[in-house]
Amino acid sequence: MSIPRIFLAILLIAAILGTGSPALCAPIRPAEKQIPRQGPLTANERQWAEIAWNYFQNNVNQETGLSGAQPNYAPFTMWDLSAHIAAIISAHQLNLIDEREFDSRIRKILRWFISMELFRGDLPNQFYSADNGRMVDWANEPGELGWSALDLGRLLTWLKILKERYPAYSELVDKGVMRWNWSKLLDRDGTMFGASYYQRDENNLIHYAEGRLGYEEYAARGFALWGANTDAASVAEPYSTITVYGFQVPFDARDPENLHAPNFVVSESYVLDGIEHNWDLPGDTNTNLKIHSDPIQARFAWQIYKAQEARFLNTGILTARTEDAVDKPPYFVYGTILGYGTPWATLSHEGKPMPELACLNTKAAMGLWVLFKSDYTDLLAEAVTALYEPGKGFYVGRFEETGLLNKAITLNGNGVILEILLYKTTGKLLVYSGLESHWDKFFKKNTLPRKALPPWKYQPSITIHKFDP
Amino acid sequence: MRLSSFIRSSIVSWLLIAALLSACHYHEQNQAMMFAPVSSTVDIPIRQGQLLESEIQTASRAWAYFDRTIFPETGIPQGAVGSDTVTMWDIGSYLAALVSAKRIGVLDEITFDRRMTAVIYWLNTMELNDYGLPNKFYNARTGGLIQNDGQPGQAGFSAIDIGRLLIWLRIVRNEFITHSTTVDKIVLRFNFRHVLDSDGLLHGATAASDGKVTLFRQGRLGLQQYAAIGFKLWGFNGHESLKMNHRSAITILGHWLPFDNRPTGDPPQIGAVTTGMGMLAGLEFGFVVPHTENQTTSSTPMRELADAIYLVQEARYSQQGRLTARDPHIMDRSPYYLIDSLYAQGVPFVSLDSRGNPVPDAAAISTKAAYAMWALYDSPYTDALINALAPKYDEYGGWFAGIYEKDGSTNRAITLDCNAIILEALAFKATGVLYSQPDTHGYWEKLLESKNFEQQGLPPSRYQREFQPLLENEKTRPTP
Repeated sequence: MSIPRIFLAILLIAAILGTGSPALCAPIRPAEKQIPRQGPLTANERQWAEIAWNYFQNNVNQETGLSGAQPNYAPFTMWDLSAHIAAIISAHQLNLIDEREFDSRIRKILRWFISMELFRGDLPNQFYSADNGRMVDWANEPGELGWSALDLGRLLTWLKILKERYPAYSELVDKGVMRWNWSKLLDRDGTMFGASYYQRDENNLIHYAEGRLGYEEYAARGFALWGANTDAASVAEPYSTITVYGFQVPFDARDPENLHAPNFVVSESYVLDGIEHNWDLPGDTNTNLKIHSDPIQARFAWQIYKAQEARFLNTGILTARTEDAVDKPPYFVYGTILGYGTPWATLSHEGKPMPELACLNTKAAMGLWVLFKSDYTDLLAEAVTALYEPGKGFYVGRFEETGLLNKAITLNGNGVILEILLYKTTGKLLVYSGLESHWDKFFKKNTLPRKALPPWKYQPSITIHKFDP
Repeated sequence: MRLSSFIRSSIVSWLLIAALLSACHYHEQNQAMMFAPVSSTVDIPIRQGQLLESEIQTASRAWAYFDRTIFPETGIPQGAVGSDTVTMWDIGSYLAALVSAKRIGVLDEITFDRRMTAVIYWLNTMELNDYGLPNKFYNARTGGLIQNDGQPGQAGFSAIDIGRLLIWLRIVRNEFITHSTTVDKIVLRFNFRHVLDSDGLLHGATAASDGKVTLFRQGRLGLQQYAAIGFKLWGFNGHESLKMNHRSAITILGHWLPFDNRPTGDPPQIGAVTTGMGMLAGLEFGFVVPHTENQTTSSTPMRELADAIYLVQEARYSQQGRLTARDPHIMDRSPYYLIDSLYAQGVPFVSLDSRGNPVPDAAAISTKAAYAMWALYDSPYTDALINALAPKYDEYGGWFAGIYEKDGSTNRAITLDCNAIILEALAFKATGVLYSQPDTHGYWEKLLESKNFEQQGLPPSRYQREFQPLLENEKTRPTP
């Protein structure tokens, strides 16, 4: 008789706690330090991986082995190609695909990679078409545009990860990179240069220092991994900070030169640097996730996380910002922590404010979730867990203002989600085999002077003239 | 002996700790916590436990109503099969159906999310009436506001309906973090200055056929308290409405039954005693007003009201062999809307139309009332009710509103509210009291900490004391 009564009392206490007394219930505690999430995937996380992999099951052209940046959009960039390689490696490591499928997918990409058309025969163009592997513009019309050093930097990181994790493919990878002409890519100070035809005038190729704080340091790691000097790009200075909710958010202090170097502070560059490089310097074989040999980048990443967490704690708005596609014009926006000095600005590429397009971004939420274990990122993961289309992949996110879904589905977004999940199971993605590859052995004895290779030999004599019309 | 009692008490204390811990675990939102309502004055347990296969089928059949009647353009279902008119009560019920179906597991995560996103978007973009409040009626097909006759235009507002909407918006925002800011934005659109006063008395507004809108003091025993909880959850003071001031009692079939002793008034508010008015507070709150200091562990007035409503109907069955589950409901024939009561206007078990005129031979066993009692009272009587209703579903989706007492024929109306309450009852059995997540501080609280919306009367802590009480007139003044 007494037990049921006491039991009832317990239930009553639970009921009272549940319906009131918020003080007794754990509030959202701000994170005190960066703790990565590590461990095997839960059933739920495995489902995320399968959803993200759906993109690559549906959108890879069977003939070329390439995938457009979005379903029914064939153009893709070298940044997207990196995400594609990341997705294939992650899917294999997470046992979503077997050895044979991995080999077949990677070989198709590499076969194309060692014979791809290059912009003016020098470097990968900004866009290629997944339909036929040819150079195109953003509208999938044949044509050349120029190259992006940031995209190439990310590609070099993933080519490095591929050849270190799978040495069997390293020769093909090296041959592909050796086709590139490095003479207009990095100057003697280690600044990265992109190039574009000015107003698509083929007689007017402009060169510009590409990248601002965040993306610049991240992309520079890729070049450094292949032996280039990236001193000027890798150094954080000149930078300033703006205090957002008490956290110092760093931003590039240089004047905006042109539209090729927009100054936006977003999550993705810091997240990718965290999961791929563990905020370590190139060549650092450290795999301890608590130690970062590039502590400035680790600190910046922390500030960027804390600013977003603080926005939630202060306003109740879930925040995980990054640049991404939108399912309506202008089809691509920068969801920033700091955009041209304005906190939480959402801007088009031209810098036009588009606050109605601010999103809770799926890949950014998951990136913060894996790198920063906290109450807040638990909520982020919960909030984005239904943001996918069954059989198609994850959506870009949910609009902050209306709560509607941003139904764009992207190659990069789904690739990044896969590499985030791989990071959870294995830690830092760039691991070193310790083997010397074709690239290392070849350049011990040989040089390719017309391509300014190897970089450690020719880069000290390169000067690139900026041209700004 | 002593040892066994020691073990027993240590087990009890561990259970206590476990209960405390589980209540504090904020993040385990998918595993809805089991809460028990306050103890009953009668010795009948609530229904708790995993759903049987047949009960899951019942839930699927109820959910099928919402697949059948949804308008994809607006994201809003019909108020009843064949009727495009919806009220805010219905929208609250729709949110309840979504949340309950998800908890039961008859609705997958993706469909739930898309449906929820659509209804929240509609609520954030729907036109409000001149009072800055949701209109009394909307057209689910077009999303526009409509008058009593279904033509585009305004029809005033109902504090009771808005109260139910506010309850379910609060449940959604507490449980589904991904929707919480947009839910808060819905409520931030409303102007609260006319819907309640500084003491927390609720006001409604009704439009006459000439378009003239009259404000009146709204709410009768049961739903008045229920709706006031909705306002309380969003920080308003509802204490005058929460009090059961105008309660008298009568003995029917040997049982004490409270009823509202105010006159009908104009517009008519019939203080009829019906099932739903007592049961909803049980399903959703366990008969406890949330955020109330000095929670009693014994019975509450809301519990006593529900127990009385249950006992009188059970007595009619045990003493007269007549299955009884009375609730206001839609009818498949004239007068289409029926206030089917245990007691109204001095008469036990009377059925009235909306103006208070008796309608003979229209009484019915209400499906939603039966399920509400079934969840809250695990007894042979409620089993008998559900058995009688078991075949009364439509193969195209949804449960029929009930069975006419006179000849056992089916009331073939199929309504949103009925199917939503069936889902609520089943979710209550599976996961306990429906308002179960701790209230968190979100966008609503953070924004109102730093910003005032004086015209709308927000934040309530600052402006509610300025809200004007309704000027009393003969018709609305309560009798002493």
